[in-house]
Amino acid sequence: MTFILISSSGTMAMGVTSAYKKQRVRTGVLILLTALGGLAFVGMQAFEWTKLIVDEGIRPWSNDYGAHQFGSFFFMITGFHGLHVSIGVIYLSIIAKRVLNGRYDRLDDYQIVEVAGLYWHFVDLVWVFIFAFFYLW
Amino acid sequence: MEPPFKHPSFYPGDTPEAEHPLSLYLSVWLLLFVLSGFSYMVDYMGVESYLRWFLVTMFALLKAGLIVGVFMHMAWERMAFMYAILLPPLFLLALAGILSVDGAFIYYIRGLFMTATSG
Repeated sequence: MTFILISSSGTMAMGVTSAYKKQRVRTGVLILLTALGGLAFVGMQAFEWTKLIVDEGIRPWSNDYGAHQFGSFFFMITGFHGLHVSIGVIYLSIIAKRVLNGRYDRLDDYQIVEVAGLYWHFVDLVWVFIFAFFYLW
Repeated sequence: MEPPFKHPSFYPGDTPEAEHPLSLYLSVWLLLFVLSGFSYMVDYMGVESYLRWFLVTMFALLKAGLIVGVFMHMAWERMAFMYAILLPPLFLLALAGILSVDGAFIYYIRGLFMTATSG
């Protein structure tokens, strides 16, 4: 999951660079790849949650393995992050469609892509800390 | 006439991101992979306690620095902007650190004075 999200951040960074060079198709494809990475991430997270809830009995209000509070913190924080990713996937899909349609070529302004990139890199940035403090700590 | 080459920090707020070579992003990507691999290795090799927490936090901070600095182009921003973004979270972290020291102290005196009543 970590590697998928990092890779999607990588494709986003390259998408932003090609947006500055006004390479329409290349930018659009790279943003689409980024959205796909985000989709894969959310899918894997759904699997992980199912496993934790159904097989291991960890709930937002209880946890058989340790402090009950772990359940509520874990599901709240990864849940909000997952929501952030999901909204990002929708957002990036819209931006990719507009890039490929040539909307920003006509405006002669690709600033939007940089903004979308900042949103997406922040998703990745938050995951770096969630991964470190929940999974490895 | 081509203008003479200047480091991007010479153009505060007007950064020519288009001039970043793709290889910059590819190498940062690779570096992020390697750092994530190191984080996994800490878990895999069963490093425990303070060394584990130190290593995990260090790799996370290095990755965060790369993402914010290069992917989010912070490294090419003007200095005032960096301070505006980075200092407030730093103060919050310092506050959390001070509070956790204080919390440990409270926990310690509770152990000293409140064990009789709770037992």
